[in-house]
Amino acid sequence: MAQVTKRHPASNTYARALLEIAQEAEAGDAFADQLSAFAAALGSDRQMRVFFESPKIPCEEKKKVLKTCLTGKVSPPVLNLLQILLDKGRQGLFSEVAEVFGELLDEARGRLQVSIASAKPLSDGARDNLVALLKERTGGEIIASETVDADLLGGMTVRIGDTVIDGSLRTKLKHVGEAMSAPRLGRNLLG
Amino acid sequence: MKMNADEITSVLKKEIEGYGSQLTVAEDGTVL
Repeated sequence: MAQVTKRHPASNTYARALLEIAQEAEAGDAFADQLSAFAAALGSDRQMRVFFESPKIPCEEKKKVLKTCLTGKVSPPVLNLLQILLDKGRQGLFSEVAEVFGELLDEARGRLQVSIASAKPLSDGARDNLVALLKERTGGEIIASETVDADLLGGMTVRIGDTVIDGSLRTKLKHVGEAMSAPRLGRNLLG
Repeated sequence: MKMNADEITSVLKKEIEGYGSQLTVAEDGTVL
C-alpha cells in the first residue's frame, strides 16, 4: 500500500535555513550532493547509524568524528548543519533533512518532484497527459516518479510535496462505505 | 569539494572502528 510518510516539521526548518545559505553562496547543487551522499552513507551502514544515534556515545565525540572526517570534504555550512542536528539530538533527521533540502531546491528552481502511484502501470500516453496537465496547473517543470500499487484497486494518487491528490478507487469505495453507514436522521424522522 | 557516499562511508567507518562494542546491536528484538 502506498503511504505518505509524515515528516518531522523540524526537517523543513533546518533544510530551509540551509537553502538560504546555499542560495546566497550559489551552492545549492553542491550542498544537495553532499547531504544526499552523507544520507546514503548512513543508509548503507548500520554501524554508522548506531554510532550517531547511540545515547552511550557523547555528542561531542560524534561531532568530533564528523569534523575529522568531513572537514575540507563537505562545505562548512553542511558540516555545521550536521553538527547542529547532533547538538539538538536530531540525528534521526539527517536523511529527512537531506530529502527536504533537495525538494526545496527543486521548488526554488521551479522543478516539482511528483510521485504517481497507480493500480496498473500507466501507458506512455496517459503519463504524458498527466505530466502535461500537472505542468499546466503548477507552472513548473515536473519530475515524475511512478510506482504501481495494486491495493489502490483502480485510479491513481499523485503526491506533490505535502499535497496528495487521491483519485484511487480504494478511497472512493471507502467514502461510499462511510456514506452508507452514516446515520440517516431525515428518513428516520419521517418514519 | 565533492565526496560520494562510498568515500564518506569509508572515512567514517575507519574513524568509528574504535567504538567497537558500543556499536554492537542485537540482531533481533525491539528497542523500547
